[in-house]
Amino acid sequence: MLSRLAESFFWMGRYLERCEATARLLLEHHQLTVQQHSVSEIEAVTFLTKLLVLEPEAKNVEELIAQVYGTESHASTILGALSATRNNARTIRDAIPGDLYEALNSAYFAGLAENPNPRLPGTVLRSQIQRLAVINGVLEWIAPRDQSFDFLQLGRSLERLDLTARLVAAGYESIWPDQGPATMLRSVDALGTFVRGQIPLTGKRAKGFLIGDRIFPRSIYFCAQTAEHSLRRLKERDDSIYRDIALLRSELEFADPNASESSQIRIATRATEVAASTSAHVSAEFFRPAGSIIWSN
Amino acid sequence: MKSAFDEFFPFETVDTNLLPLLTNLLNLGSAGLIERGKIRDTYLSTQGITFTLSGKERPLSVDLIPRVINAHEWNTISAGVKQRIRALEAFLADVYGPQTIINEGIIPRQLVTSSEHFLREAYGINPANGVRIHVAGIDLIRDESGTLRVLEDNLRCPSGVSYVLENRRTLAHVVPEVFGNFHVRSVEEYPEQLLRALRASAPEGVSDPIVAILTPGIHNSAHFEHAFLARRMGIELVEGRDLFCKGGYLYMRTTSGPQPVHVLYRRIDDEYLDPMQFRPDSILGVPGILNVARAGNVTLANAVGNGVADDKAIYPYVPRIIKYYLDEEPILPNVETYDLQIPDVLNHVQKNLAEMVIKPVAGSGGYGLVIGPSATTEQLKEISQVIADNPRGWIAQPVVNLSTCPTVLSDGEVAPRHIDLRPFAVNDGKDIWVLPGGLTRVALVEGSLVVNSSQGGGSKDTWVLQPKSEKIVVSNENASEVPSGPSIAGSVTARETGPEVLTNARLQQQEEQQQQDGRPTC
Repeated sequence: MLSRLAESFFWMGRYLERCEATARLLLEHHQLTVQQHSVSEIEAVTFLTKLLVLEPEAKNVEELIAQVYGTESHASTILGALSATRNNARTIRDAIPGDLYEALNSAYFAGLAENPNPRLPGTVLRSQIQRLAVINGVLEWIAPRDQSFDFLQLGRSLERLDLTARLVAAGYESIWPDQGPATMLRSVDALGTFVRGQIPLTGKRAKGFLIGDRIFPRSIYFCAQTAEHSLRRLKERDDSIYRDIALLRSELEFADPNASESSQIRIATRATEVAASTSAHVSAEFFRPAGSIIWSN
Repeated sequence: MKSAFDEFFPFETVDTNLLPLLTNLLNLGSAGLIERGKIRDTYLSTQGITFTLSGKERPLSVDLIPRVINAHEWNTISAGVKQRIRALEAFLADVYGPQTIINEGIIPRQLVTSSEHFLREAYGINPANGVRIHVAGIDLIRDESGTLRVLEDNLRCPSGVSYVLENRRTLAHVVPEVFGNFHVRSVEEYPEQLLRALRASAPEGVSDPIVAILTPGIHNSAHFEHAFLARRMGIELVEGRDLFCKGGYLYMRTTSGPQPVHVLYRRIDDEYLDPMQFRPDSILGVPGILNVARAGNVTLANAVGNGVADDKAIYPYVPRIIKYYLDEEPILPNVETYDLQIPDVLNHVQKNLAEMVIKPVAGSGGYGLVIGPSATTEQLKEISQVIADNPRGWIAQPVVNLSTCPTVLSDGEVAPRHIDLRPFAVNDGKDIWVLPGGLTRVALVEGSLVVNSSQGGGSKDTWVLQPKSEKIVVSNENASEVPSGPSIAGSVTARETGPEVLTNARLQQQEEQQQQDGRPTC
């Protein structure tokens, strides 16, 4: 397939995931700040901007909502990621199912139209998450499982891996010992799955789950596995591009389930690095092969 | 009737601690409150937070104004609830065992044996860790003088705890501004505490017990709660048809064959539980389960036969029960109650019916209750005859004007409405844990004293405030500076972004190209 198409599929997957993940993070973080006042507002706010690697502009929760909901031009915000998803889809409109574009468009226009009330963000964020779920549903049942899907899946799982890793490393439980672990799990909608498997809920267990759970699709392990599968399908004979991710996956697969919290943080940090290096390998291999001439940008 | 105590305006003036809460809410104006009401209704129905009334699923309306309990008062409530449960546990162990309290004449034998819920079938079922009341809901009301009193005990299948947890999230979603700077104690711990207690009650020798919840099915009014608890505890929600007994053990039917069940948190009534022992026509229960329990191979939570301890005719004796088993004075007083089996008392009640509440002893959910002041003369005449015919079946209490709490009405106005409180407690055999919060039910009709959700009542989020001394100190010392926070490992790695797909240069050229293409050809 065309490099340009491959790249757009890859980034469509990444931004789609980023948009959903950020909306959920913000939603749960808002619940936390409303209910828990054990830390100062500025600390709670900075916690999230730091997690999302945004400038520490927001000084209170309302500003945080506005900043994280963001603008079209900032791709690490909700609106920015949504816009970037759609832009990528626009350039490959011919290659994606009609339903997908339609679902994406309606999510995009609704996202533009309904800026969340900074004091009452829940409603808008929830409907946003719902609309993104429709897009993912269309992908699941209509998109053909060719290379385009592999690129999309790869982007989605790398982005998810990166975000789950950042969530693990953020330190929710040390700041909010009461509700931090549950918030961490809720931010990826994992609370139900977690409690079915184990009790009690502690920060360490929650992190252990997010790192290594075998069946939850948003755990670092699961994402690494999915990304590795996609890469193997794309480039079966050359293991150089999937070596990093495969090593991470096997490390997680055989990791000590009772690893200390510091080693949990260490592995999460490593996962973030692997996501970046894999993304770079993929880009070099498929999107911008050596010697390609770039006319603009 | 004496005027009611108001939770926000005790002693006629507003509680200054609660002023910011009210101000934040009233600033929304009545149009704002109506809008928030709509947001809440949508949220509750899309989230499926409902209860079923007469076969119809409907949201359990939660009021926008929470009910607030200060730390000091909560200590009393919590201690009082624990005390009551300890005493009632001892009472149950006694009446289904040696019956010393009866033999010593503290409680009339006839009162116990005539209780509809005193089950001979429960005799000889000895729970592994001695717990019969795994979960209790003790209904409290506040009288005109501001004293909290126990209205009734619920030791069978008290429901409503799911709304306690959901109400908190709903309020944070719908009216985050009311939370202001209040330090409210979290209620999220409940499912974990309950599961811990249920596991602790497992039959002896079972180290990793399988716990399940037994529900009557989706048509039950509390089905949402059953599903909620199963999901939050991570255990199976089963119906009677999913279970069977064989060889003295209880199993559930699964895709990988029969799986044992060691603890069954059953949310169906005793009489439906086992068609071999109770109602033979029950299709909700599990034939033979009582014998499995008797053999000590499954723990039923709550235990069978608990109804004798929350029988409304036993209720007036609870202070004596506390005194007898614990040698303590009750921390939470009862509401004055008339035993109609004493002829003089019956006579007195019949003469003063208009100032009494008459309740059936076996009833729950507010069914069958007659409130004197609001009853018609015919109704009073009728009930006078009914209680004379069956004095064991009824109790009478003076009407207590329940305390009120400001409540948002459907037109966006705020007015006082009567409320009660149901704290929930979990007994794991070593300790009784009281959930810091509870279900506050509110009678939405002006002047009404009936708060039951089955009678059209609503609910309120119930806040227990953190004790002032325990207020957690803001963890960064210089709050004015942007804190460096804990080290976020990933923060050094920037988040990647893809290439700009719609660059201005390309956009412009592509547009121009289009114009040329679009020129009409001759």
